[in-house]
Amino acid sequence: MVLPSLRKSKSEYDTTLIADEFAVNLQNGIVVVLNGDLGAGKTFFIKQVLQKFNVTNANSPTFAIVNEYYGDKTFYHFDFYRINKESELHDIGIEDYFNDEQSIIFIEWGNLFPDVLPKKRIEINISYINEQEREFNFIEYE
Amino acid sequence: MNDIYPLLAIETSDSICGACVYFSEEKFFSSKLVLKHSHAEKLFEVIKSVLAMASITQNELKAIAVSNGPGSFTGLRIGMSAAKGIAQSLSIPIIPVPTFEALAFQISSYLSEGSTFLISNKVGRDEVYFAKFQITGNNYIFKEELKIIPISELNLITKDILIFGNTFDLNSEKSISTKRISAPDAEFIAKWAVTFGINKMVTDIDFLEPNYLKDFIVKEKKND
Repeated sequence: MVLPSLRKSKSEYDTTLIADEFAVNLQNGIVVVLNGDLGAGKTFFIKQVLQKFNVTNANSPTFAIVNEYYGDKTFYHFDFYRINKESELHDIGIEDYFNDEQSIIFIEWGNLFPDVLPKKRIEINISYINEQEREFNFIEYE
Repeated sequence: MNDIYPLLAIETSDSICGACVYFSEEKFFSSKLVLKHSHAEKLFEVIKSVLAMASITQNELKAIAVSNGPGSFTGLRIGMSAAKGIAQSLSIPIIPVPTFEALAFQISSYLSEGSTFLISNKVGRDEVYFAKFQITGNNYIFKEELKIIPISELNLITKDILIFGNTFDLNSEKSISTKRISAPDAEFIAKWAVTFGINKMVTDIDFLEPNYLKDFIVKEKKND
């Protein structure tokens, strides 16, 4: 997928195709931030991407804060939704995860704590259009 | 001074998980392993192995030297927790050892008089811990104090200078001489402690914390 990119999905199947296309962009060291309201499909999208790397146990880390997956590559999957203050992220050693550049990092609700995000990252903003349809806006920051 | 030997040294600030039982310059037992995400699991095994090699029990230890940062947030906490646990149970003191200085001390034992070198380790993606040293009289002096700088600034500085640390990948296209040593061996934690650290010894360990340099108590904002 060439970034930036704007994609519309009319169904879960469409989203799967977009996820497949996006998966090609993922190399070790990339940080992907996903923003969107509850139910927008952030976790669904990540699950679809991870399937391409033979990760089948992906799940929402809302309560665990971070999940680690080991498939064809190593993935750290964060969810900032339940984080109350930035210091909690330092308390779980988020810098150590960022320092592991032999992995790929997904962050749901990254927009809640923009100060901790690395400058170089991909952001995916997911907008809810209706029950079935979503808009995916992919932006690359250097 | 004999009442600090045998001294246990612990190094967990970066990729090395190491421990050393130190009696003197001529007699010490050191061990390390390099394995990602293993410090919490393996540190006590490493400690046990050096105690076994030295044929002493943990109860015979008289002091602990611990690599005190800056470095990996989680790594430093693991090392400090272990040190505090053992120190508390035996009522022995801890010597916190500045990690960059112990590494500079180690490097200065390899390089020739007058050499200048940098150590830079990652803070996160965008910043690095940075210090510049020069070797004088088999010792090191700071040419630039330890500080945090943006990684972009490092790219400007590092032309034709010896640089140690984990900031660049070995196969990166950067045209600088990069040595991937980013953490001292445990025996240099011990050597630094006994050479420079005696007056830094802490007996009241309750408030002893790793030095992250970066103020991790960040400004707290309201989320609405």
